[in-house]
Amino acid sequence: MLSPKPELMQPAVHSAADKATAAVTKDDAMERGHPRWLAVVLAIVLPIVVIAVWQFVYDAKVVSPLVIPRPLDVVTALWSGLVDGVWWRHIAATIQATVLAFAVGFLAAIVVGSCFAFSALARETLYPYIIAIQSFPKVAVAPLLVVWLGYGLAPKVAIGGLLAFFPIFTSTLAGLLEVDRDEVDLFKSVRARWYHQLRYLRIPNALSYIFPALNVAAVNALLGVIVGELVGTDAGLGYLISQKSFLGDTAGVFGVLTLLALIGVSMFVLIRLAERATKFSR
Amino acid sequence: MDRAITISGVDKTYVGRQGQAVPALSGMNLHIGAGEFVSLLGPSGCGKSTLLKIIAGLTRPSAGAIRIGADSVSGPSDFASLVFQKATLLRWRTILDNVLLHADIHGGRNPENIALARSLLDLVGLGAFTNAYPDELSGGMQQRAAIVRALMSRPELLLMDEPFGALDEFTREALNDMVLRLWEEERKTVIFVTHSVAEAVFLSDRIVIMGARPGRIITVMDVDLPRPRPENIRTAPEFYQLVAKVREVMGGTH
Ligand SMILES: Nc1ncnc2c1ncn2[C@@H]1O[C@H](COP(=O)(O)OP(=O)(O)OP(=O)(O)O)[C@@H](O)[C@H]1O
Ligand SMILES: [Mg+2]
Repeated sequence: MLSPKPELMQPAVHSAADKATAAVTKDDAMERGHPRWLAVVLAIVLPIVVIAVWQFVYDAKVVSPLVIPRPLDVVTALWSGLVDGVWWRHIAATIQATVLAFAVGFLAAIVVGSCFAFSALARETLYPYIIAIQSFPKVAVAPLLVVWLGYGLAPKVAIGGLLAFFPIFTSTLAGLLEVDRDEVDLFKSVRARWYHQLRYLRIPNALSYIFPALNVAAVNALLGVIVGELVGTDAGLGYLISQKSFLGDTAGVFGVLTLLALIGVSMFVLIRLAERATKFSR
Repeated sequence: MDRAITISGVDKTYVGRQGQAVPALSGMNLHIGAGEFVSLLGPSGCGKSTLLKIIAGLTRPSAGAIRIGADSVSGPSDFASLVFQKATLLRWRTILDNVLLHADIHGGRNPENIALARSLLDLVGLGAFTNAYPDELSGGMQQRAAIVRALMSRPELLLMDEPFGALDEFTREALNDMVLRLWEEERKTVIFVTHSVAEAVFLSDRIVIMGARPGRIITVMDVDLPRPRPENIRTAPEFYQLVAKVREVMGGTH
């Protein structure tokens, strides 16, 4: 039933030995050759420098304000968008669609991934098609999805969900299948039934593969939703971007992009916290 | 009831990737008395792991049979426990949880098996690490936890497949001392696979020297060193002589 198929997926963490070496190289690479304050100071100085250079470029008038806006104008645009409240509707639309896309992609990935893991027939029959869809630039179907699913939430969720699907799908499949041969022998030697193996070995193993994939999936969901909004809807931050760039409001576009960066970082932090709260991150 | 292990006429031929026959063991005959400590020594690929798996009931022999007392082995049982070369601890479980895997699968945890787990972990010096995760432990500590896990089902036979192969010499010797103490206390039957002649001589009552292609027994040597064995026997002349003798016999197998 659960024949290992190691060539399927990108390698994640495998055996204890591999893991030990991985940990060592990681620690070595992350060893600090500098005092901590330096990193903190640099982290603060870096954006100041970037903004200063940006302001300088703007003042020198080497490029048109239509290409690069004044830093302060971006802040003003962001501020007025948030305070006047006209952006909140779009923020809510984007977040709602992203959460939905992530949830749909996640559920589908877990279900399909498990089916593939438990059925060698499904795996062998359908895998070429999954690979084909995976290699296909999925954002290219966004306009078509709008035609099919109409204006509004559905196409956004569809693209976001599709993009969120793959990282979780591959890690579910790999996590359920790629268990160590010795680990399987261990379970057999204690006369574990298949459901013991599932509960104590394959599911925890899969979770340890899935958690690291969630960040990528969440970012993908947001990306898909924004693409959907750029192509066709009347709400969301993607829609706002296309509208503002159409009007030549570059400062506004930058403002929305800043907001998107903030949303991305928040998702990252949230997932990290969830991961920390479980023991499967190790 | 005599729980001696009899290996009679065991052959094992694997089917390779291209469907070809891979002979792993041929014509194995061996009798191991209850409470004996026997080491298997031989070149890589001579079928040591295969033999352990057959005795553990994880793999079926192509011909012949293993008997424990009067019963022939037909599958895994609580009679035997395996210790692998890699500790094979589940990385998402604490040391205590890892050790309690057998309990979780068979009837659940209870005060007795938790107490047994704690006392065995204490015994091997891991008492302070019950709540640590495997990746927080050194290789030697992980292997000690794996031995405790194997003891949790109260096996009468311990099958150890190069358990200390990946460890440095000092750690290995310390763990050899530990295994010897455990064995002297409990007198379980132990079949111990190793590549280290000194380890085999230090631990065993008998050493089974195997040859490859096909895997077979070349000779069985008695280790007539005193029991209980003091740790400093490693520097005694008779120890060296035995090591030299084993090496000489093995010279022909490589
Ligand atoms: N599952 C398997 N399928 C096919 N061939 C196998 C399998 N397991 C082992 N073999 C083959 O059987 C032979 C004996 O293997 P085994 O692992 O028992 O040797 P070993 O003595 O334990 O070697 P080592 O000292 O390297 O661990 C080898 O030729 C090996 O390639
Ligand atoms: Mg082996």
